Amino acid sequence: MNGILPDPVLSVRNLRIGVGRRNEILHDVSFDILPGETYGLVGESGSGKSITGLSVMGLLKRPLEVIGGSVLFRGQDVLKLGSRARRRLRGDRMAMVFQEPMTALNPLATIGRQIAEMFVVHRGMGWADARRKAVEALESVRVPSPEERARSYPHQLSGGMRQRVMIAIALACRPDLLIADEPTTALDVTVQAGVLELIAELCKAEGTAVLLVSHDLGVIANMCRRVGVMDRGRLVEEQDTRALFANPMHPYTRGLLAARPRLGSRTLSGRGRLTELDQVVASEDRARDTPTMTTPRGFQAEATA
Amino acid sequence: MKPPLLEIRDLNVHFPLPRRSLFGPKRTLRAVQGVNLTLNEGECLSIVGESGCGKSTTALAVMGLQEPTSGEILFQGRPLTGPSAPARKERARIAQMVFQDPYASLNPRQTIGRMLSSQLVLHAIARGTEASHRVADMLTRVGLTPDHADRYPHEFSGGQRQRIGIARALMLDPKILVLDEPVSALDVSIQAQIINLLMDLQETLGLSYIMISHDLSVVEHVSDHVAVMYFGRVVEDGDWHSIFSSPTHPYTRRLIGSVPDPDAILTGARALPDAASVPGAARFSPDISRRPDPDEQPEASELVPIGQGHRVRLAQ
Repeated sequence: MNGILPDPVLSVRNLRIGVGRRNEILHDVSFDILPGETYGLVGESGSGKSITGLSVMGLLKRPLEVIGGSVLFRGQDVLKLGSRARRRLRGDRMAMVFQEPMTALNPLATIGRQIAEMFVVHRGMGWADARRKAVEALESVRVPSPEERARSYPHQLSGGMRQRVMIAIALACRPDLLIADEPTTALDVTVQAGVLELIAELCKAEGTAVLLVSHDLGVIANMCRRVGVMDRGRLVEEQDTRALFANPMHPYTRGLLAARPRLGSRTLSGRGRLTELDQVVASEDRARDTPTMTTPRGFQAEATA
Repeated sequence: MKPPLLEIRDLNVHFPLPRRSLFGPKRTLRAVQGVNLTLNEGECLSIVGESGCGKSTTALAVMGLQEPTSGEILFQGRPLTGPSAPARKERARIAQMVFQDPYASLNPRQTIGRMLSSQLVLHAIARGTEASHRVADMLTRVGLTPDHADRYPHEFSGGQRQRIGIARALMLDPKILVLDEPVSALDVSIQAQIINLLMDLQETLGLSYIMISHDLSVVEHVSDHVAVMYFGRVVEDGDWHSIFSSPTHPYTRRLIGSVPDPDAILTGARALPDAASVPGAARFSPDISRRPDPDEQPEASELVPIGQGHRVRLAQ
């Protein structure tokens, strides 16, 4: 099977993160993301999905630190790089979209300037050229009247528009890897659909790999080709999306799938109680130090179809 | 005939907007425009729509936290607004609210027990040991233990905090609970627990709910009646089954269609149920292909019945 798979863009091996050196909160997480693949990490809050994404970017804040394992990005272990080399990588080859665009954008700079900054810092362009590129970037994320919008400040835009600006900044330098941490959690359903479609389309056109972190199984199902399920700092299961929803292997995944209210599941006879996670998963199933349950990737042909 | 528990009649809430120029015309934001809703005893009425559509403003008006520009809200036939409105303390025993973010709505410097019992003291219902007995009862009822009363809000998880928020709202034995996005800040695994708790409480205590939510799968599961709001107006309302089995207004269809659904992956594209048929050559109002200007005078339209208790807004 390995013969037909390309080398992964990102390969996380036995990653361990701790609060200080002693208290380990992320245990031996390993996964690969292939070029152009959208990989989803799903789990509850506190399961470690966000810190996994942050550690790949090198944005972990003290007292959190990586205490073991490796993060291979295009074959190179980024954990061994110095902070300057990492900074060059960040925003250029790998970029991130955060959950709350209002707090992630600089409120005192126009959005045109914030996008242009990417070209100045990473491509060494002059500001005049960079601004022209910024308008193009805004156009590519389908912000209406980009010329005018480039001069506005973040507070003048709606939530969906701000998130489009974030995506424009992240994709400005055509990175190999985009990490999207709950990109649509703060948005309305109708706006969410548009933003997700935009991410999918742009990344497909450029062949960008995406690490999508979300707690929403619906979003994951719509976007991802392969999904990792995290629980209490462990990656408990990894499968192709279809296989995961059709045939969840780990009891925790089964519980997660059973616990969500589903559209169209209510019958006329009355409202039944929802299944609670604890009824499906025994706590010893969650605590045990079991290896990640995985199935091999399906054929790539299916992925592009 | 007994009047319904709560009736909202032709509710309008307008906010003044700044003039565009010194001598420019006055501008108003019509946050809620002519909303009529009825809540029957023991039922759950859900208001859905995107942010800014006026669903929260409607709820705040019910709570008495937002003075309506015009229109009235009747509780068992008695007005809740205007000159003959009940005082705040009396109102507190009619309707209570459960907020979206349980942490932001709890005082971090008060123990849970103090917070819950202070309401009883204020309303002269109980004090001393009697009050702490009632607090312990309420905590057990929402799935916590009596010794949680000595703890502070930061010592609880998100799901537990929402249980405390529900306990706080229930202390005065209100008839109506207004649930403002009660589960959207919670994890999927916790959501089911809180929804189950809300449904159990509704049955045992005979509560009536007004739920504001944008999560349609939760709405479908819990509601008896659903009203869909779009830019200040109700565009479609009906019992939950007619809304979900034959969504008719284009906005309702768009809302339901944009819920990301894992099952769609397995079964291929999910088909939206068929719309109910609409009389004549009428046009839906408002036109959702363009964003309405909130300052503009809305076009004439009315809610037209298209099925058993199912109405949709059409242009006149």
